[in-house]
Amino acid sequence: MLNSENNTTDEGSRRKRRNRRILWTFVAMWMIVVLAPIPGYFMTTDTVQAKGEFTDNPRSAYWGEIRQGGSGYTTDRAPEAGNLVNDSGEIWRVLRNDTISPYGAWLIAFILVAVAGYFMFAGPMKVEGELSGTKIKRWNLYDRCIHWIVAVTFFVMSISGLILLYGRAVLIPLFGREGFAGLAMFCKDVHDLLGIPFAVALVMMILPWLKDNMFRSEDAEWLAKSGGMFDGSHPSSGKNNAGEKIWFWLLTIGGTVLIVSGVILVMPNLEPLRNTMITMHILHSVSGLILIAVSLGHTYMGSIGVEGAFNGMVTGEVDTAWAKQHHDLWYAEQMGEEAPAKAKKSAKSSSGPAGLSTGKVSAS
Amino acid sequence: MARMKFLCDAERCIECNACITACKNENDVPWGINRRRVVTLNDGEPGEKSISVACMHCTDAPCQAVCPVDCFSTTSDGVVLHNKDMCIGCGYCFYACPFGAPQFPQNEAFGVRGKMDKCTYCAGGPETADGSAEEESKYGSNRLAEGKLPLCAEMCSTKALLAGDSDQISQTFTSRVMQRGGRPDTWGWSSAYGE
Repeated sequence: MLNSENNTTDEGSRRKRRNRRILWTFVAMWMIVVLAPIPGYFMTTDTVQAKGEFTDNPRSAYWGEIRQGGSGYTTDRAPEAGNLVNDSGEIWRVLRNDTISPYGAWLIAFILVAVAGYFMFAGPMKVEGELSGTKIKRWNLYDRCIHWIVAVTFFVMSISGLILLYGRAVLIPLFGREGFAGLAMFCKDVHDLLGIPFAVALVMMILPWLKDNMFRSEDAEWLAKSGGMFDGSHPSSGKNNAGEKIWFWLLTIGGTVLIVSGVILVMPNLEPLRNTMITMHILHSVSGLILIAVSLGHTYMGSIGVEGAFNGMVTGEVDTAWAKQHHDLWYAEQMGEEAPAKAKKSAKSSSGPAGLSTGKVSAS
Repeated sequence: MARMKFLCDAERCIECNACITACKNENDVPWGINRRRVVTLNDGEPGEKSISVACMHCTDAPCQAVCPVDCFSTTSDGVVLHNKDMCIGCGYCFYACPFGAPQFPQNEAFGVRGKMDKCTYCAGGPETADGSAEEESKYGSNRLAEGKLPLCAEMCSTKALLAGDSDQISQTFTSRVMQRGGRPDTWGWSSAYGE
């Protein structure tokens, strides 16, 4: 029994030793296979670095430069024909299709919802107390004509501009591509031609209205109270309140951007550079969309938002009660009776008993 | 389905401008419009390269993406065509195209540009009957419908300008590159012969 036990342990240890030998041989072989190519790897790296080929590929540098907008000689006489690749159009595409269009639509939708919500919850601003029946001149014939020329041209250009920007998404599903193309052609022609009367009328409107739209001390209070939109108060204001002044300056700045960019875009005969046209198109659409959005607020205020305002721009005359409530400082100035400080007091008292304020107006 | 492309081998182009002549003649392209042009880079210097460009018939064509009236369409052969009846001449495709392919017959004040014109890959127009007189006058010839490739590429004397299915012409180009000895040798030589 003992003998046989010794035999088996001898045999077991021999097998173990053999297994270990096999294992080590494998490890050694594996090491050789893995490590042997490494010196060669170092060598090739050295030679490649010495030649400097892989680190600087002249071909890729050459075409990389062309890709970045390099240009060469060509017999084509068109402007920028020597330029092989100009990828700024891709930036313009992304800005127009993915940024300006959706955000512009959201901006207009937001203003529409805000105006509709305000109208539903607060309703139109009415003249407090009774109308005096006495009218005073607010806008002369020139003011009214120029306002409505600007308004109508702006409206037509807004609609045609919006059709050109959103028509593909909104109107093509309705009219089909052929049907929409006719409309778009008409809109483009109208938009291109109407720009001229709009530009002239806008300048003729801005210049004479400039002095009434300079910001003055009372505008801060008017803005702080949001013009009484939410608390029903009537902060005092001159001929134009701070809201109207902001709209005036937005229109002045935005309108100037629109006119300058529009003239460049509509004059391909002057051969502006492609990048210039792209930049102008972005400026044109951004300022156009902002003005369209804000004009919705102005249209609301000038029509159903404030009772009496629309008639003021149609007939040029407003009721004295309206003038006193909305533009007290201007009213006082027109009457030539009170100093601005006193007028401010009387404006505050106008929110008191209706009879008193009417009485005062008729007395004046 | 084939996807037609142009490929210009700048190693072979010798700036003979025959592609332009072929295009103008085949399609009766009016004065002032160049559907194809040859640009020579580093003209007159060592390493001068010429390349012939036209509409690249992009897969995701920027012109198509920005067109306000959606008048572009891609044929089943991958050719980007545009409909001159619908085109309003706004110039947006010209702003968007990286290669300056869209061309306008007019360039006048008040945004008068006329209907855009560009390389049709000798495939006529999208809405006209193949080979009709109307198509001929509006868009030029329709060689593709006759089973022929664009004439510019067919006429290229050095076979620099390749036209055809993108897989096939890229294979042709790759085999040329391999035969030339692979990588940079012919490009941007720093010295004439070896070291």
